Amino acid sequence: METASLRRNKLQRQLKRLLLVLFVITSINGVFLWKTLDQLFSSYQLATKSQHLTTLVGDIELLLYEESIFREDPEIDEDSRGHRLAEFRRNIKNNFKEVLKIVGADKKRTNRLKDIQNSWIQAKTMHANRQVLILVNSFMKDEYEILREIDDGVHKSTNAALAFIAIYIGIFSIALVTLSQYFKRRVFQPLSRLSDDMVEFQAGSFQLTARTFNQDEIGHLESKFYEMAERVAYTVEELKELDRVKTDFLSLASHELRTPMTSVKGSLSLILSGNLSEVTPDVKELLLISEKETDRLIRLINDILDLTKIEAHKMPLVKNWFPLTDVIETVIESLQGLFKATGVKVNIEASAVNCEILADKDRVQQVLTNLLSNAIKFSPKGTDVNVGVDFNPKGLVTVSVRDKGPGIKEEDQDHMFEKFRSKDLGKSKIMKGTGLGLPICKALIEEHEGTIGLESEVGVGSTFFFTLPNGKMISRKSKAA
Amino acid sequence: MKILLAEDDPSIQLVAKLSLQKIGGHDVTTASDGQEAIDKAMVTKFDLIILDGMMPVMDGFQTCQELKLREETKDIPIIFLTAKNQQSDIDEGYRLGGIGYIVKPFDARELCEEVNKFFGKILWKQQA
Repeated sequence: METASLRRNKLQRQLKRLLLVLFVITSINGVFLWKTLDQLFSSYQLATKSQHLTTLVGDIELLLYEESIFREDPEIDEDSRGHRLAEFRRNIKNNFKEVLKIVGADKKRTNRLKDIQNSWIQAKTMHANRQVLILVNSFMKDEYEILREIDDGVHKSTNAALAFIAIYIGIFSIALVTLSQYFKRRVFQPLSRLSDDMVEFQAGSFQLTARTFNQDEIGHLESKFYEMAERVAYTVEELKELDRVKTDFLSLASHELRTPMTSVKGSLSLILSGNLSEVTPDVKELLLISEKETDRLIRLINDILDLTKIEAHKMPLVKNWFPLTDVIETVIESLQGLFKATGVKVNIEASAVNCEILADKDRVQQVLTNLLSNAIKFSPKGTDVNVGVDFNPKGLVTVSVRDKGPGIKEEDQDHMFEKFRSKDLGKSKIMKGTGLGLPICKALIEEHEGTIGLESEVGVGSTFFFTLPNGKMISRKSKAA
Repeated sequence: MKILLAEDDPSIQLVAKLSLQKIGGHDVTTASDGQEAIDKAMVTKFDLIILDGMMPVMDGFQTCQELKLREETKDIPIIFLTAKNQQSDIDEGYRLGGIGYIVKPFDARELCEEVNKFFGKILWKQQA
């Protein structure tokens, strides 16, 4: 039970495990990618600041240069010189202020800048200005160096971020391929195999090729299906064997029972023919009784074998289209002797329709003969037996035989088609049958996919009827032809 | 008429033989299986052969096939006398070249009547 449950959940567990691994790998990669992008962003910010700083310092350098030129230029009058120099100093001061703001927490660079700024404040000559310019220039060189390093960092971070993105794409591609392969191998292939086998099984091939199954839910389903197919195959084989045994029995019984009856019946008829020696009246009477009872025994054997054959579907029907009236007339004709002996008359009802049916003519004749001869046997002398035919537009044909006999009690009606029962039920009337006539009729009609039944009222009479599918009306023209 | 009767059951063989002799007045030779019937038919010229369906060594249907293949016996009329009463068996009997099919158990008088009926047919054909 535990193993089965483990097997049943295996696919689910494997899928969960696969998705978990995928989640862990992508998460780790995600953390690295996040860090790299953060680093890239910081480097970029730093680079921007550094660029701004170098621009400002560049401006300071330019302003200092221009200031030193102004300070010494003899062509400029003192008023405008003083005015311009004040402007230069204001601008340079502002630039220093801004640069110091950018450098911020970097004490080393702040101190250096403050030193330069102090040197500039104290510089009153062109020479002093040039000294400050050299200091600024040196600072610029170092700043360029820092900027290059930052640029390198941005470059490296960009490459790292791209690499992590590439890893992401790689992981997803591998995951996609792995999952599709996994589903193909573990789900779709076994399911399509199972589906093919089911089609084969449905077509009646119960011997499926043995194979190994995956230890998972689908494998479990496959193995159970194969177990079922094996069981069905075994049952089918058993049924076939049973069928063979039945056929053998029927063949053997038919031969073994008929052989001794042949000798007895043949001998009796030969003696009775008087061709061997003269037969005295007493002996003849006894021989006639023996012959009559032998015939009865033969009928019983034939009926039992027939019924067994029909029930075992060993009596194939030979179906053909034929007019139903032909069969009714043939049966009435064959029972003329019985009609005369009993004084019963037969009528084909005026409402009877003329139609053709697709059925085994001999078997339909056998059923009708049985029903009609029963009706005659149970009818009081001089009464009528009516044969009717009804046609339903869906092709259902109903043939009924109505007598004015004593009728059958309601509680007995259900047992009329049971083997050997109808004879017991009708023992008030002298019956010469085997008690298998009606069961044979029932089996034959059911073999035609039809139904058989009766309606009866004590003291009024009985109507036995059977229905057969596959009927069609005959047009007047073709009937006349 | 000379009749060859192939029947394995001694009782039926005797009854059928006596019926054909005493009622029908025929000259009857018997065989207990298909092979014996063929051997006898190859030696003596019979007017009719009656074959049981189920016999040892070679059954009636095989015997009929064999007889119809041989030049010496192919024209002898054959009647089956058998317990096989299925329509398919009867059809098979006629398909193999039989001219009649009598189902067991049989009445001695009816057997002779049937045989005479076939002889009537044969004679009528010969005269025609």
